[in-house]
Amino acid sequence: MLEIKNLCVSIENKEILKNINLKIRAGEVHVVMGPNGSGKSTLASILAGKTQGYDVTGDVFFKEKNLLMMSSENRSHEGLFLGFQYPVEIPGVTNIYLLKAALNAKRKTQGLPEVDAMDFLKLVKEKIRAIGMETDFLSRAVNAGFSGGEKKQNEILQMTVLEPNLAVLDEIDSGLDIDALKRVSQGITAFMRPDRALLLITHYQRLLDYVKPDYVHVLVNGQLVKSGDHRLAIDLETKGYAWVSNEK
Amino acid sequence: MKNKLQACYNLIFQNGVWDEACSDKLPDTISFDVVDKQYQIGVKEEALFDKPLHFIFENNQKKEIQFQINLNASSSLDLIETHVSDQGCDTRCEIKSEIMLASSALLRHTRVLLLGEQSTLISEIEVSQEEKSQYQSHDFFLKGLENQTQLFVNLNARQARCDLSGLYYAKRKEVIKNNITVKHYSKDTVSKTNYKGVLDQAATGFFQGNIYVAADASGVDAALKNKNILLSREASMHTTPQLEIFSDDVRCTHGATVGQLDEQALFYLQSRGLTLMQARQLLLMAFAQDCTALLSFEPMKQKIESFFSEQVYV
Ligand SMILES: Nc1ncnc2c1ncn2[C@@H]1O[C@H](COP(=O)(O)OP(=O)(O)OP(=O)(O)O)[C@@H](O)[C@H]1O
Ligand SMILES: [Mg+2]
Repeated sequence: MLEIKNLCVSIENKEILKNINLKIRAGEVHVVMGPNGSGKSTLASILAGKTQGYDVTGDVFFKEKNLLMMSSENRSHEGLFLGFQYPVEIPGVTNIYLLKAALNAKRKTQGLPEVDAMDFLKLVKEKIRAIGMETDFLSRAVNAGFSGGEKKQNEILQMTVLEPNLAVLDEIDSGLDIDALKRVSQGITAFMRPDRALLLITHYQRLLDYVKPDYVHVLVNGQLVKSGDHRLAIDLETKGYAWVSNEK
Repeated sequence: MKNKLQACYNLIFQNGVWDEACSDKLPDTISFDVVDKQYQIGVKEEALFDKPLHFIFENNQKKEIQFQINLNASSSLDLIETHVSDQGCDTRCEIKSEIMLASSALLRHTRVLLLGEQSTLISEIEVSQEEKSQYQSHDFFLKGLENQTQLFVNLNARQARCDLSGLYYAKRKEVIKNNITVKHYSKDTVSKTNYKGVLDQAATGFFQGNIYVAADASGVDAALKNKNILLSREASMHTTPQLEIFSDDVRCTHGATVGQLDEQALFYLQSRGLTLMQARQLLLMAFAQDCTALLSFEPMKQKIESFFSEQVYV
């Protein structure tokens, strides 16, 4: 589904990502872990189409298409979703408005008619209940004044409405209380299907108790230094990143 | 008459002259006279109206117009002004309004400027407010070569309050100038001023907000805000708040910003599948929202919102 080949990214001549290679097949759950500032969010942003200030070389293919040539909105229409580490606050735009605009933008590219307002409300209410969020979220402005945990749940809501093929979730588990972590995990588990894939960026092993990864990768200093299965995450939690760096 | 609004008392002024034949008949509680070329509107004590009064100014000449508007005690009026001119007409109109609000009177004053590309409108509005009166102004400067407004509000007696909001949008080489002065002469008076602007292409904006609080005016609450978004490098905005406060017991806040559309927010929206244009439009609508939301007259609200969304869709 996603293939990253020799991806290098720099900002103002500073190398942030160095020669990244990664292949994600349908049905797989991949996890990227790594110290602060190692380049995880940069990787996520590049996949979602952020271009400003970045110097990018290498190739990325998404469903066999050249991802780096696509606009950010086309990537979304094609089925790529980024759950932001820091979801942006947009005062003056309600959640429901954005969700509807986003869904209709996608439907338009698929040649489908705009979703009817009543049908949409029904659909969204189902989704929001499945995640266990309050429906009054819908009439609030996008992330404005949301707590850290609420913002993350809102990302999951957007994901479940847009039904992407590949979801890249950047620290979706940060700032969540115990119950919210459970809800978000349920949202992710429900999302996973054989025709979909996940790339989770996280610092903690606890999310992986709910969502079992097929592969865990360690990103240090812009390089993928180690890959393994879910046991790697457990080892990292006990031994720290120095262990990977030293071993190398 | 294309600018007439249903569910309004429409009064039409062609090149500054009242067009009686085309205008609606007014209710008895409102008087309308012409004295010395000045139009005088009087609203009886405690009068209320079922619908707004709508002045339509169609101006294709150089003109001066004068108004005096008197709201007697405890009366309440919704006044909408629409200013239009023909696209190619090189016009310049000066309009002067004196507004007097007696105690507990309420005037909601909405002005919508949709002038032709060569038209200039210069407005001078002076408002005098008595005890517990309220003046709410909602300015929408959407089109025109040059729009200059001087608005003076005198809060003369206790608990008088004014809420002044403005939304301006300018492109090409259009110029927008707002000079707002609120004078708090009395105790417990409140003023809330919030102007927001979007400047595109080579447009220029000026905003000067002045707040004066007299020495013996205690318990005053004054807020002054001006936020601007520049959509191009050639656009410019000059904003200066000025405070003259001679009383100690005052709550006064002011703030002015000039910036661009938030790149992070644009990227966020695009990553959700919106095109750059849709994302820009959505953010601009959101920016304008606290001004458009204040419009209580739904047809006008829709008119402005759709105009705004079309214009910014560049
Ligand atoms: N616009 C920018 N200009 C300069 N440096 C940047 C910019 N954006 C990111 N960086 C740098 O790139 C590096 C990687 O940042 P990134 O946000 O990808 O890290 P991360 O792995 O997600 O960290 P965290 O775990 O703290 O979220 C950091 O050193 C950061 O300071
Ligand atoms: Mg990060």
